[in-house]
Amino acid sequence: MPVAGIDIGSRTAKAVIMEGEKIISSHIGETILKGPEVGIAVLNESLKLAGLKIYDMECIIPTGYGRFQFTGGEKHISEISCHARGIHWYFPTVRTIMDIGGQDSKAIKCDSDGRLTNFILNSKCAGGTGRFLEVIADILEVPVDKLGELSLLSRQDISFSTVCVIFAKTEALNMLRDGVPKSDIVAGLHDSIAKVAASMLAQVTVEKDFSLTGGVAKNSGVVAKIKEKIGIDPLIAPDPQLIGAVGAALFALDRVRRRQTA
Amino acid sequence: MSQILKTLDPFKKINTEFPFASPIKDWKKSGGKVIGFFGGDVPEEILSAAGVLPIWLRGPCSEVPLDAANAYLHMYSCSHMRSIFEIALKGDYSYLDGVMSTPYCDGTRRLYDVWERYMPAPAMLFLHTPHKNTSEAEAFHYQNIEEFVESLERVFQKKITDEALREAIRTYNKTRKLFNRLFDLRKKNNPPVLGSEVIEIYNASAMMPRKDFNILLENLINEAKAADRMPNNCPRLMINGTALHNPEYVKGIEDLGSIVVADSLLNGAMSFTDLISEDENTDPLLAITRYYLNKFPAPRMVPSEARFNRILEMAEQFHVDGMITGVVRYCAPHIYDEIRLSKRFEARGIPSLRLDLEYGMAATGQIKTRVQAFVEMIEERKRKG
Amino acid sequence: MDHSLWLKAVKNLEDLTSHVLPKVTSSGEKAYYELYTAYFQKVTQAMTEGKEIAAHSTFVPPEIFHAMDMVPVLIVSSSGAMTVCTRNYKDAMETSRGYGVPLETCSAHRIQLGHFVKDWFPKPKLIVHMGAGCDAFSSSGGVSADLYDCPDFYLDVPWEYSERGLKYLADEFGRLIEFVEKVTGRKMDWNRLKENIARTAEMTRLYREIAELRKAVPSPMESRRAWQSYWMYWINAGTPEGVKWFTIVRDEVKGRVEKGIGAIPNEKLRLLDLFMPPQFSFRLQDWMAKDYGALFVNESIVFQWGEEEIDPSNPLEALAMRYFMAPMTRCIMGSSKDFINDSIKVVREYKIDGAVFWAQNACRQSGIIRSLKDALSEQAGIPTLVVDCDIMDPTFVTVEEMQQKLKDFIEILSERIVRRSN
Ligand code: SF4
Ligand code: SF4
Repeated sequence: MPVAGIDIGSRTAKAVIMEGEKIISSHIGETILKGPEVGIAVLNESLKLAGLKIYDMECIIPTGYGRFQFTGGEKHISEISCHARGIHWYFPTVRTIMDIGGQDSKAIKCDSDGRLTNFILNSKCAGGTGRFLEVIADILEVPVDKLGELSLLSRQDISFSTVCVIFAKTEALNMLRDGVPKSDIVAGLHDSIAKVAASMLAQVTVEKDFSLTGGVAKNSGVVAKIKEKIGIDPLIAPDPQLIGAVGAALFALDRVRRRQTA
Repeated sequence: MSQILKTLDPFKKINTEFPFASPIKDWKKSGGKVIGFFGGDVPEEILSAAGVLPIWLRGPCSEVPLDAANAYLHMYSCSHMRSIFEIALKGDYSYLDGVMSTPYCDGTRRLYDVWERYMPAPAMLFLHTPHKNTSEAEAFHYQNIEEFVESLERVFQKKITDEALREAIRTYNKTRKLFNRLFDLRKKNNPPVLGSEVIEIYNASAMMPRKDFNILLENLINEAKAADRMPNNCPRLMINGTALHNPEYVKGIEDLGSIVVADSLLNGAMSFTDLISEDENTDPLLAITRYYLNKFPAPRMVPSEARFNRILEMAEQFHVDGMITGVVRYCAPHIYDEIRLSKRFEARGIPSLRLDLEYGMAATGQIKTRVQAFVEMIEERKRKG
Repeated sequence: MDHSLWLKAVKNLEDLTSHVLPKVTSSGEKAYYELYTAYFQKVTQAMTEGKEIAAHSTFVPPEIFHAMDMVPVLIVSSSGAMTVCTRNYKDAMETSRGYGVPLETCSAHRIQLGHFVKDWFPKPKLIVHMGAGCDAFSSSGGVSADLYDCPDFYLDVPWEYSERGLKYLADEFGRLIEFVEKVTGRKMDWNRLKENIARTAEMTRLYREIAELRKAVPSPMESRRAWQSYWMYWINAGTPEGVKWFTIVRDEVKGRVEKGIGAIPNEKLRLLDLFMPPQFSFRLQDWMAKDYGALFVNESIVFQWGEEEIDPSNPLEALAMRYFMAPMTRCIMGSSKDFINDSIKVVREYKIDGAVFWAQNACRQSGIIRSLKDALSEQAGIPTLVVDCDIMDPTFVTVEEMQQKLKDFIEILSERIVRRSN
């Protein structure tokens, strides 16, 4: 009895189809489309991959920023609950999760059942998010997915005096002009993001095990810095971007099960 | 919630007429004076006994640009006070015969200063309230109030008699008694009134003569009592924090699968729970003095524990599953209050969520995500037992 | 308890003092380093010897604790000073943020709470806080008391000066003394309290004398000395050290006036400081004086006194009177009229060319800026520059950014003066 979870973020949308706790297909798409269409588009892609049709879905649950616009779901669930649930599925021992997404970041705590116990979301600004990295990567003319590697070459500690994207941009430009190596700038940037993360984690208190999710979790530089700050090796899921959608699909499974027993 | 409360309509209508609602217009038309006030401890009973209509000033129920107000009050003043001044600067409060405030916080006193300096109303009134309820504070405040009564008599050329004061106390108490009945209904398993609807009622209370308001409220209670609105088992929330007036904010919270059953808002339970003594042998000014020093304490009052215990008690009485505290940016009294209160809630196993707001805001964007996750968290807890 | 930060800060302060003292020529500056360091050393000594400490917010009279043989320590200023001495701004601010203190309150209090969360602040027997200054002032003490789980007392302050307000405040001081007696088992030594207050009256007299002397042209006193004096007035209230400080400063200032010399060699612009400048460094003021001959000759928030005298024979009323008459409490409590009128008066009496308001991030007092600026322009004929800054966070607005603004303003003022003299 297949179900679907769709995570409609501000920059990418992801869909996961699950059957009996197994992922049978998934798809990640850019959110060039606006509104509900993007959810449908990624869902269709993953249905195609699974060789299924939309009416085969026993339950569909949307999450993420665009969840309110998505009308085909049974119920929408916040991405925070979905993240906790998704990570717990991959790593049942995890109690603390740091999700660094494209536009926002969140620190999440959950219990042994993967249920949310505490969380915080960063405020309006993009400081400490994936967006922050992109802006600076652009200035430095380095592809985002090469930032991690590059930062490992850094020889000196640089610190940005701000996590505000706008100011950091100016600062990075000044550093470039002063001949500071790109690797050092990037490392300093990663350090800033790690600081924001560590400060958010401190607000919920870190408990083992710890997992890092979201696009930024693919950046080895940031991962290393966060590890350094909180002193725990993060567990990283195979595709850290899919966690929200997986969580949504798991909630869909729950509903189907509850229906069956009722 | 299937059924709609018809008796809510008159409140809603008045609120859509903000800031110059028809009851205020009618009052003015019949030659009555109107005083607009802000700050939490203005003795409306005395203003009313002077034959004046006190109205509690607020900003609009939406987040509006505050360009005019920003020129007078730096942006580190809270947007609550700046929103009020924005309306005043546009001339929409020009019908006021007087403006009154108290040093409730730096926000209110600085707004008063600026108002007095740049666009003084015919009467500008200010009353200090101590932060304690000791016997010395009572003696001190009694004198403050006496002096205030004299100044009011001077301004409006009218003697404020004990009889008029007693009458005003009875009318304002009537409101409070009715609200207590309404609050009792909210303690039930399936509250017949939504938190967002209660905000509409609070808002109307600030913009009309109390006698008329009492009739409307009584009607509403009678309908709500008999109403068979859908029972539900969703998480029961209490809202706390900076005074708030936008029903859409509360509706946004309730639309995400919760019901707001209680509040400790200055413009709500804090002002409508306790009663002034109606004892015929007590000097009415003394009764008023005591009330304002002993009522449901605001964050400014000490010792703070009295306030915290009061709120925790309410949480118990209203079977509250979680608390949401909305704090308007730079609202220091509530910033610090939230820090201390949330720790006490959590110690009792009641989760709490702080939302950083601007005045007038509805629940949108990230706020929705936070609230939804919070509600889901409570649901999970309840499911687990 | 984690005393390491406090000890390190005091050590840094001692090192700085021994490093700086030999180079300092001004007797006032010398005295400052000595007395300031001694204040913290006394607390360290109390910590190691187990003497009872009373932590209190600014404006709570330390005379009371001295008379009861306790060691007073200011909460917000001391935690701030410890942060400045160890440069741990980020750590302190991040810590309080982690505890749930949002960025929308001023950094002085965020830093204070960081110290309490981390147990860096000396453990007091009791905490006394006060409803004076601003909302952050009157609210943060309660959080500190929560964190240290120690008995606290809140002093209620009347809105403004009046006879009955004076009595109410005097009664509050009486209640405070009862509270301290109950918590500590100590007894108030009333004679000692009177002696302390007599010294406070003497300090006040000297303070006012200095204010008079500062009207001289060229100005005989550095602006940093004014701020130092204000803090000295509170941290050493009622002590021989306090009297010593004001005597030294008075003598130095008087000497300069008699000789007709200024605090800086070529005074060109006389400025009025309207609010607390950033507290982490005096670099800005030094730079303005040195590069432009622009000197703050009065700071109306800390250098304008009310008129009434302080009479030690009735100690509680004397303390209440001092509260109402002292600068700062006098102008930031109550209506903004006193602050505005004081500032106008100062402009005339001190022959001031322009004013600077330091608009502190998240500051609760910023609602006064527009009124002050307009009043000074309309009634005193001088322009006011508003400098955005942060009281304790050196990264919020950098010194360079502030310098740019000040530089432009100084240029405008200089042109005005040239035009006026033509
Ligand atoms: S309590 Fe807060 S929101 Fe209300 S006036 Fe004061 S500072 Fe503004
Ligand atoms: S800077 Fe402003 S907010 Fe901070 S303590 Fe001073 S008056 Fe209060």
